[in-house]
Amino acid sequence: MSQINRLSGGQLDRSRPLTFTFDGRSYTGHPGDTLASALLANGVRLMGRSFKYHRPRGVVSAGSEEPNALVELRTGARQEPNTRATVAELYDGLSAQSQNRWPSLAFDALGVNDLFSNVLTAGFYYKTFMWPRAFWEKFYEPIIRRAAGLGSLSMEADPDAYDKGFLHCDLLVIGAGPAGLAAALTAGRNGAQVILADEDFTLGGRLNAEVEEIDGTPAHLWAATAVAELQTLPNVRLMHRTTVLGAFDHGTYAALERNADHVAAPAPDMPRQTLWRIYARQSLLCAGATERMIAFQNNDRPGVMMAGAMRAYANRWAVTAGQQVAVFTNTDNGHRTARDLAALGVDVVGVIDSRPSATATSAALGDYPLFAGAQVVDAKGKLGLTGVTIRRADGSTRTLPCQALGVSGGWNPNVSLTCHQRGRPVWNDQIASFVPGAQLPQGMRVAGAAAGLFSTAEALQSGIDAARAALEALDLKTTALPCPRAEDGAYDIAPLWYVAEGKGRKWLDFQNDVTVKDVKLAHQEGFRSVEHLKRYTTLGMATDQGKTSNLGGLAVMAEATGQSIAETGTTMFRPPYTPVAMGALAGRAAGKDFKPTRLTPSHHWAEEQGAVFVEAGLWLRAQYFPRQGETHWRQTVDREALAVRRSVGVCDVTTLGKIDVQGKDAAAFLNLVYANGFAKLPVGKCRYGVMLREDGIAMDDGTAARLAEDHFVVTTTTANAGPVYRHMEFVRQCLVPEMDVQLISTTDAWAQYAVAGPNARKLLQKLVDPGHDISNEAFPFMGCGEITICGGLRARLFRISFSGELAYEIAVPTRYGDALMRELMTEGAEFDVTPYGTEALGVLRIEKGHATANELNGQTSADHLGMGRMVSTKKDSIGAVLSRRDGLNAPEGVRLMGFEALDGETTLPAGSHLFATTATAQGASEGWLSSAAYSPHLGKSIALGFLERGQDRLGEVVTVANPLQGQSLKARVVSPHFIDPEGERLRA
Amino acid sequence: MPDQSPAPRLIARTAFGADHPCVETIGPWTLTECPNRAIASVAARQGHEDAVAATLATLASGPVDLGTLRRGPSVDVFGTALQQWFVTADHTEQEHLARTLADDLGMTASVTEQNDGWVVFTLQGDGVIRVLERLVMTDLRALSNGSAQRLLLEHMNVFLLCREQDQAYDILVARSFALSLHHAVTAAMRSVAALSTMS
Amino acid sequence: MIIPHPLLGPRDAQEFTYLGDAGLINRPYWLSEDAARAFHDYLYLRDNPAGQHRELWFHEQGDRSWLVVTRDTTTHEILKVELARDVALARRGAA
Repeated sequence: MSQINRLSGGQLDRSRPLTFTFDGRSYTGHPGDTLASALLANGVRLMGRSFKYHRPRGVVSAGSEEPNALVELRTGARQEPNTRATVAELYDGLSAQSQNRWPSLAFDALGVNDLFSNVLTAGFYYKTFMWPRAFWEKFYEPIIRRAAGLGSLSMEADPDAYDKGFLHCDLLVIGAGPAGLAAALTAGRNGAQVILADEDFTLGGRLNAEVEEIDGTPAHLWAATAVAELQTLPNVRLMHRTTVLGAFDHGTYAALERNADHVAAPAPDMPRQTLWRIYARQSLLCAGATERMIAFQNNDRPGVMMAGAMRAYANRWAVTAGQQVAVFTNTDNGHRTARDLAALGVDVVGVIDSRPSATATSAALGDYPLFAGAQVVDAKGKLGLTGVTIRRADGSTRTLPCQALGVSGGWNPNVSLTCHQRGRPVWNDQIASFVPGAQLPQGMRVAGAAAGLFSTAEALQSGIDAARAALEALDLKTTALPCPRAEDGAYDIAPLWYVAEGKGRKWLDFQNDVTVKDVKLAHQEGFRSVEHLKRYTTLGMATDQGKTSNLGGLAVMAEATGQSIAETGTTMFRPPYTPVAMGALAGRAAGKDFKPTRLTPSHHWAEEQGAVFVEAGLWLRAQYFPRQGETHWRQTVDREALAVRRSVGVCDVTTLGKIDVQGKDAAAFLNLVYANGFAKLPVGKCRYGVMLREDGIAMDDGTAARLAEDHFVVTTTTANAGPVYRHMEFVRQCLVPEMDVQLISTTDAWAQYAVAGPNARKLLQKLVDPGHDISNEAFPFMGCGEITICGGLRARLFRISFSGELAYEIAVPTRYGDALMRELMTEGAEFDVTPYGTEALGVLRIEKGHATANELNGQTSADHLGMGRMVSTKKDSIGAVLSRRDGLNAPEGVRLMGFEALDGETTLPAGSHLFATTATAQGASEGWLSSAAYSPHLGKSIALGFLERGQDRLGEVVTVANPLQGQSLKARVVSPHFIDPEGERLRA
Repeated sequence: MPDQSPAPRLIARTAFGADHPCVETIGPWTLTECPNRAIASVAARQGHEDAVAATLATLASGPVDLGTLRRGPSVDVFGTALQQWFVTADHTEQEHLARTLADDLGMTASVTEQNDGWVVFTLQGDGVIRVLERLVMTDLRALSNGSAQRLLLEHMNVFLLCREQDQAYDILVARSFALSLHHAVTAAMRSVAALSTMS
Repeated sequence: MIIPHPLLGPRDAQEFTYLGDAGLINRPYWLSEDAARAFHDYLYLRDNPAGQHRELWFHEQGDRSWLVVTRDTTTHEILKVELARDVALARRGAA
C-alpha cells in the first residue's frame, strides 16, 4: 500500500481514491484530504525550503497559519505560488511543485546559504549591500532577486474570473468551531439573520480534530448535526471555505470565499473566488487559537510539527507523520496528542513535558513514557527527523528515535481581527498569551479559544452567551439554549519559549529563517521596539504574518530587555488575515471591464461606418471615419475638417453634459454660478459662459440656453459633467438654499448632434417641420428653441458653434438619435455631408481658438484665457472676488495665444515649453503649448498655448522646446483665432 | 419596438441599437429591457411641496415617500430625493408624459423629460437576490416590495425598484450605460447559475 | 465607513464624494469691506483636527444631497449627520 502512514478512522471518503502529483511523482489520497495530509499519508515529510537559508522543511501545522509547506499549485496559467499545502483541498489530478529549490527539493544548490549563516544573520541585507553604492543595481539586486522569493509566477494572464458581492446580517459568526456553532445555533434558532463563515471546507473547527464527546456524541458528529440543522434555517447562511480577512469601520468585514479552489478549474462562468463585503450589525469572533512552537536546536527538521496539528492529522485525516512519534509539551494539552496517536496504534516513544510537576496522574492520559521536567535539546535528520535528544530532569541525556515530534508551547488566541480597528490585545498570565483587549471593532464580541477559553465546554457556553448578548444589543428577544455537555479539561501551562541548551540555531520564524539568536543580536544592536525588531529581523513578515512565530520572538526580546512580554507589546495586526490573490481584490474590474463604457446614440451607426473610436472618460466616441483609400489618420481628419469648412459636417456631441435648471430663481442661480451675466439673457437665446472655482481659476465652460423664463439647459464639457453638477448642487444646497431652483441631469435623455458648415442651415431646413423658421433672421446666432422635425418629433435647436462655422446643435429624444443621424446623412447627400469625429472637432476648435479641457486645466484664470473681461464686477459670482487677485491678472501673466510653426509643416508638440529666442540655457519657461493640430484649412501646423505677456508679443518668434524628444522648434505668436476672428462665418 | 414614432421618418431604436428589446434568460432568471417606458422627473418648487406631493399621490393612488414606489392606474411614481420624484408610464400611450405633467403641475413643480435619459430593465426569477447581492451594496432583504433606492451597481448609478422581493426588480440606468449594465448583470446571472451547479 | 443618511438611513461611504470642512457653507459676502481677505480665509484657512470634524459629503450615487457629517477623524465614529441645506438655512436664520 502506498499510503504507508495512513491510519484507521478519520473523516475521509475512502471509497474514492484521488491521484495527484508532487514534484512529478504520483500519489494517491482521498476526498477529505488536504495536499499536506495526503503527502504525509504517503510518507512525504519534506515539502519545502525556507526563504533565506533554503533549509529543508516539512509541514508544521494543519491550518492556514502554515509557514513551511508552501507549494506551487496547478500548472500553466493557473499556477499559483506559495499555496499552503495544509489548506489545499485534494482533488483528482492535482499537481503541485515544491518551490524555492534548485535543482530539486532534496538537493538544493542554494542550501549553501545555510553554511554561511554566520554572515547571513539579522539585518544582513542592511549591513552588507550598503556599500559600495554603485554595486547595488548591477550586482547585488540581481543576485538577491534570483535568490529571494518563494514560488514563481506563471507569467501568464490569470484565466479565471473573480466575483465580489455584498451581504448584510444581524450577526456574523467568524469561525465554526464549538463556540461558532453554538453561537450560530443560538442566533439562528432565535430568528436572527446569521452568517457563519469558516475558512475550512468542513465546519467544526477543532471538533473535527479531537477525540471527545459532546452530549454523548463524538464531537465531529455533533458538529455535523449542528451544521445540518443550520442548513435548514432560512435565516442562516453557511459559508464554507470563506476566510474573514479584515474588520473595517462600522461593522464592515471583508471575506474571501473560495468557490472553485477545490477543483482543478472552475466550470465555465464560475468565479474562482468571491470577495464579499459583509455589513454585520453585530459580529462574533470564534476564530480559535493557534498553537505555538518551543524553539530548540534544529527544531525545523521535517517531521517536527505542532502537537495539535499532529493530533488533527491523526484524528481527522487518519495520518501520522511517522510510525514512531514523540511529543514535547509544556501544557496538559500536549498529552492528548500522545493519547490519541497511541490509541491509533502509533508508537509513542515518549512525552517530554517541561513541567517538573507533570506526573502520570496530573497530565498523562495514556500508556506512554513520560519524561517530566525534561526538554528536547536537539533534533536529528537533515531531510527528515530521525530522532530527538532530550535532557531529563536528572541531567542525563537520551536519544529517542522518532520520525515525528509534536511540539506544544501553548496556544495563542487568534486575536487578529480584534485589532483591525485600533484595538490592542492584552496579556493574560493564566494562558501565557495575549487575549483580545477591551477596544474591539464596532459590534464585535469574542468567544471560545479566541477569547482564551480553551475547553470545549467553555467554548460552547461562551458562544451561546455572546450570541444572546449580540441579539439583545439589537433589541431581539432570545431564549437560552441548554449548553451541551462537553470536555472541560485543564490546560495548566508553564511558559517555555525556547530551550536554553545548545549552540545551534533555534528557529522562531520558519519561513523567514529567524532564530532566537537573531532576536538577541537585534537587541544587542540597539533594537528595542517590537516594530523595529520585526523589520530588522523580518520576524513575522512572511506569508503567515507571524501567526506561528511572533510571540516567541517577543518573549525572547522581553527576556533580553528584562521587561515582561506585556510591556514589550505586540506588533500591529493588519488585514488580510491570510494572503489574498490580487485577482480577488480586482474582482470583475479587470481588462476592459475596469470601468463601465458609455455609448453615444450614433454608436451603432458609427460602427457600421467603420469609425475608429476613442475613450473620452467613460464614453466611447467616434474619433474619425476613415474612407476607402485613406491610409493615414491625418488624411481622414484633414478631409473631415475641410468638409465642415467647405460644406457641412455632423458630429455626435451627446457626451457634453446637460443639466436642466428650473425654478423661479433659475436665472439668479446661474448668475451666481457663471462669472459672466445670465440674469438678462432673453428667452430663446443661448450664451457662452465660464464658471470659475472659488479660488478664481477657470473650472468649466459651456453654453446655457434659456428655454423659458424659469427654465435653462446648461451644457458642460464632457469631462466635467459630473463635477459641474456636483458643484452646482453644492451652490444650491449649501450657499443659496433660499433660492427656488431645481437641477437634474438630462445628458442621456437627448441625442445631440453638431451640424456645422456653410450648408448647415440648408441641410436642417430639409428636416425641420414647416412652421419653424430657422432662417438667419428668425433664428440668429446664439438663438435656441423647441421645434419639431421630420413630421412632429420634438427637438431642441441651438445655434451655437464650436467650429467657427455657421452651425447648430440639434437634439432629439435619444431613442430617435440613431435615425436622426441616418436622416442627416441621407438628406445631406446633396451637400456631401461628412460625419466627423473628435479629432476633426479638435482641429476645428483649435483653428477657431476655442478653449477646452487642455486650456481649462486647473491652472488658468479667466484672464489667462483672454476672458478676463467676462468676469462681471457688477454682481456676485463664484470665484469672482479671488479672480481679481493680482497674481491671476498680472499684465506679465500668461495669455492664451495662437502659434504657427515657422516652417509651416513641423508638428508643434502640445506640452512643449516656450522660451524667447534670446533666452539663455538658464532661462525660465515663459509658457507652454496646450493644444496642437495640423490645420488643413491654413495648410500649416498650429497650436494654442499660454505665453507670458502674450497679448503684447504678436508676431514674435519663440522657441518651442520639447526636450523629451530632443526637439527645439520655432513658432510665431499669432492671435488664437486662426480663422474668422470677426465671427462672420458663424453669423452667416 | 411596439411604440409608434410620432415621426414616421425617424424610427426609434433601443439602447442597444435594435428594433426589439433585449431579453436574456440565464438559469431561472430573466433580464428584460423595457424600452416602452416614458419617464419624467418632478421636483417641487419652494412653497409648493405639499401641493405637488398631493397631486402625485392622486396619480399614484397614495402618498409616495422618498425611497418608495407606488403604482397608480396609469403611472408609477417613486421618490428619488427630497421633494423629487420620477413618474413612469407606458411610452406608447404617454410619450408626452413630461409635458402633460408640466401642464398639470404648472408653476408648482419643475418637470423634466427623462423618457430616454434612463433605460428600464426588469430582472426577475426565483431567488434573484443571489444575483443582485453580487452587484449592489444595499441590504436586499430589507428592501421590501415597493422600495426604491438610488445606488451604485458596478460603478454605475442606478435606481433599483423592488417589485416583489427576491422575485422581480426594475433597474433604471442612464441610457448610455445600457450595454455595460447588461454585461454586469448577465455576468452575475451566469456566475450564480454556474455556482449553483456545484454542491 | 457607513454614513447614517438623515433621510435614507445607513449608506456605504462609497456612495459619497468627500469635499472637506463644512466651513465652506459660510461663504463671505462679496461686497464686504475686506472681501478679498475674507474669501482667502474662507478658502484656504481650514482646520484639520485630529478628533471631531464637521465635513461636507455629497451623496453622489444616491439622492444627490449634500450632508454635514460630524466625524471623529481618529476613530471614524460618526456623531451627527445633517442635511447641509438645513445647516445653511439655519445659518441664514441666525444671521
